[in-house]
Amino acid sequence: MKNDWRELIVAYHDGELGPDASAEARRMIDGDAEARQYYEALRRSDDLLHQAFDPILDKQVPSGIDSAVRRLSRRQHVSRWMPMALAASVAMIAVLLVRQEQFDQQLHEQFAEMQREIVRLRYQALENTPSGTAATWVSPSGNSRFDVTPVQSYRTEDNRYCREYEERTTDANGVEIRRGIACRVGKANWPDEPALSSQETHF
Amino acid sequence: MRNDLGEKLKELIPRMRRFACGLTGSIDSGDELVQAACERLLNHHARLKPDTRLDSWLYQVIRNLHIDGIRAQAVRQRGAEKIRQDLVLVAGSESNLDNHLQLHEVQDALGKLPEEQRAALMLVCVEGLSYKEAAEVLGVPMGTVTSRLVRGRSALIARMEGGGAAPQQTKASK
Repeated sequence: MKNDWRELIVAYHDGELGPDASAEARRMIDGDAEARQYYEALRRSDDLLHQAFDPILDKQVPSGIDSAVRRLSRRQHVSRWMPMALAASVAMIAVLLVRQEQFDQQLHEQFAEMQREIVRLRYQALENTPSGTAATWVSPSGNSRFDVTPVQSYRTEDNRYCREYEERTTDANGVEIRRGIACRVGKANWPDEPALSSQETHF
Repeated sequence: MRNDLGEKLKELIPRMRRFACGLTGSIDSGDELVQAACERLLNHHARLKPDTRLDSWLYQVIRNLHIDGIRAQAVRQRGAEKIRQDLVLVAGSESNLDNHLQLHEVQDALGKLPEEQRAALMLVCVEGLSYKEAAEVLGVPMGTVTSRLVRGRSALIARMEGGGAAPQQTKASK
């Protein structure tokens, strides 16, 4: 180390030494005039280097560099948000598909419920309602109405009890009128889907 | 590292300009290096490793661009006059004439050092990097950084203090 005294002083000045080497450097600076002079010169030259170059820190950044920085920020912004935007789009599509499926399912259930109500009402009308009197069902939403009116009743040659009837469905699409004949099967038993004799639609 | 890269770069630009100016001896030439480094970052940022230190990466790119000879030596020489004028103007209100002359001398002295010593001096003495960090930027062992610093500083001091050559070391430098 004796031959590298400047290296020791420089490293000491730069704070790169451990406690023992620092103590040795300090002793050298305190006890040797040349080492002390070198150490002081190091401090002065570092001060001058800072004075010479630090003013650049406060100088306005040229437009070319500023533009490059802004372009990088924009690319970062896009690259940061693009995956999230894509993920959000995929999630939104998934939600829409799920909602569509739920909506379809709901419609299907409503339609099935309406069909059950129509069969029940037709059965009730054919079994209990006098000819010329309508039995009516209105959907819970109030948007659809179903009327069944027995028109006339008669017995066939083979002693079956049959009724002619008219069904009228009214909803946002207009009015649909169907006429048909239903014959009782056994005791108080009417077919779920009686034969239709005519159908007309009014919008 | 990639998060807020633009913000980090913006914060580092002044230091990069100072380093590049010290390497080239000219604010304008240094700014050209910094801009080229920024363009390189624009093209390569997606490929940077997450643990890459942006400041070290930029110092390294700026220094490599400088060494690769992006600009001719003649351009650097012409720019050397500009830096002295620019810096004196900035420091003019606070510094006396003796100080101006000293600033000229230290800039001249730094510009006359070999490039590897100048880079080591700028990174450690001005930019405040540790020897280990400077060694990583320069791609050399820490011992080589130490050696370059001692030789560079000794030469700088010799020129500043005595106007002569660097003091002779008893041990051969790397």
